[in-house]
Amino acid sequence: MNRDRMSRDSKKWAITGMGWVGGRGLGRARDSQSPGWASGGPAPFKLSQVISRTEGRSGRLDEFSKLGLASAALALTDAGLDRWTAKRPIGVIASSVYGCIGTDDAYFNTVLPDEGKLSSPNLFAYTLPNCFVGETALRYGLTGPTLVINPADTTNISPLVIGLETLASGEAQALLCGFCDLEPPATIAPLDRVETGSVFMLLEPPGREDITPLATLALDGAEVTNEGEKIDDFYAFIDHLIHTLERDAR
Amino acid sequence: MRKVVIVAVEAVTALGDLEATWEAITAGRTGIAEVTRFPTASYNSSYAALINELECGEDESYITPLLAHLSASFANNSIPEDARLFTASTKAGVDGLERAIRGGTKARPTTLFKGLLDQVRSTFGIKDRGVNVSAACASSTIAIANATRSIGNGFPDTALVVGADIITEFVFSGFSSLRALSPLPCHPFDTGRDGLTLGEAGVAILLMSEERAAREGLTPLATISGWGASNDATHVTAPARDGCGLIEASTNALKMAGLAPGEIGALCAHGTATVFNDAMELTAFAKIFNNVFGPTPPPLVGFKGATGHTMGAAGALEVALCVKALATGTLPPTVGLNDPDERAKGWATTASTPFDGPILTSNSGFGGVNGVLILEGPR
Repeated sequence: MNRDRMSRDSKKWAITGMGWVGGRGLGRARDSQSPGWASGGPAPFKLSQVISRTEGRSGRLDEFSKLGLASAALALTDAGLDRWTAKRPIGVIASSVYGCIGTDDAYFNTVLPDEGKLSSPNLFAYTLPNCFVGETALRYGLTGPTLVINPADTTNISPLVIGLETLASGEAQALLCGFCDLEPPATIAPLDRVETGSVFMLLEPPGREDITPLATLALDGAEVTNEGEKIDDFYAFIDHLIHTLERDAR
Repeated sequence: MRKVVIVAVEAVTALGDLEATWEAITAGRTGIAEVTRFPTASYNSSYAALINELECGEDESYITPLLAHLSASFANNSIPEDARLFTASTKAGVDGLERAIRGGTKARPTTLFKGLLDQVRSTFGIKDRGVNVSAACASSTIAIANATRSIGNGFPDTALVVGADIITEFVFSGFSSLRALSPLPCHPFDTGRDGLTLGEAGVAILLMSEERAAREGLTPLATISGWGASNDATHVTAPARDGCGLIEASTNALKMAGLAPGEIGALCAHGTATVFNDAMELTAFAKIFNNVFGPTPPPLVGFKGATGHTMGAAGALEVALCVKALATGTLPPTVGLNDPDERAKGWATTASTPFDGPILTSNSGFGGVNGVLILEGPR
């Protein structure tokens, strides 16, 4: 990855890897043995199934962080960028409708007994939606912009638009872009049309010689296109892309 | 990329509206006081900067009166119909979740970020459905950066950024459990600093392209000439001791603004008053600026000794206060700073200090995030 390649075709980006954790399990685009993507709460899994370096705070991770970290890790593996020695200016932009509301609920249930004296610092440390993005950054040496977007609309297109705008302005050399959501706890009324599970894709300038892109995206004004077709809905685009890759693999 | 300007700004804090907050800080006054909203006997502090005027019903979130106060303060400004909406909040109306858990009921919609966005839209009369930016204590800094980038690209050419966070027992108990709260009102950059003091605020900033502002007949208050965002990639809750992420974000912001470090006139630090945050910032800024300015880089101010740490609203609130500083050419004193850390002596302000040039303002937070903005005065 270098700046020459970034400037050569600055309005187009290749998707060089995808990873997901959903109703059928853990998968990635270049692994033909992977289960396909389907929205839904994942069956229990261990992070050691996905990442080799599970030391440190892995045991403390909340379920939301574990989900997002696993799918981001699978996307990096799929793009051949999971191994590193020096930190890299790769960013992470994720969307989440519910964020870490389940962790919030669990944390506040530790506040209630004994008038707050038993409040859990371990749980509180994960009561921000962007904490899993930070976990991804520190485990993979990613120093680019990292944020979570909470959208109000149901197309969930914002992370893709903001992600490509970030790349276009040269603020990151590559970017993990995706979404992460778990079913909300009983205290929260579910919203319509929120896909649960997590999917991430690795976006970078085209031209890498060691990998064939899964697809190419373009930014035209504030519109994102794939093969000339406008992408109106991030969820639908992900479904379309993964099903196309599965069909082509057959 | 088109030039992006701030054309309107307002805030509500424990010290009042933006003008009252600025006047209080200039006079060295703090909005931090004993908390009466919920019991604090179990926690390691009883202090915060609460907006005492906020009143809400039993089934309401404090975020609702906060937005109402902010909207009333902002009422003299006309928000264009095509404005894009960015909110920045770490916990939205999390007191709704507290009530739901205590009462065994469902939480109010404002507990979720979508509910916050819907309430901001209806309170301010905005069409765009908007997005909330979650980047911990750098949320509104990064929201402003994203809004500026969109306007700079021309899609669209105006945006409203609203930063809002409230103090509830949820956040207060959490920072207490992490032993991050100062037992007394906080002391940024002080030798005796021992933790942060929480605050609450609502901030609204209207951004436009320079061309659109001219067409609308609006006078720019400041220009956002550069920004940078980075991740330390070091730790989820602690800052990188060497300031690597803040250095990277600041360097990127300077490059984008086309400025050398020597052209910066003042620094507005995150200044939480925790031992490690303030040390990290002094390390990072010394590395960036000391080579240019010698032993004393541009004057540095921290506002949290007056406003408390307003979490997701902090970056926007500090931008609002920087707009006032640019207008007057004066940095106010760092409220709460009595005995400066050895490295902050003669650097962090202890009295009103004149300056000339752009302000670099920064925020850092959980998840390793750093956000930096560079603001230039209208002149």
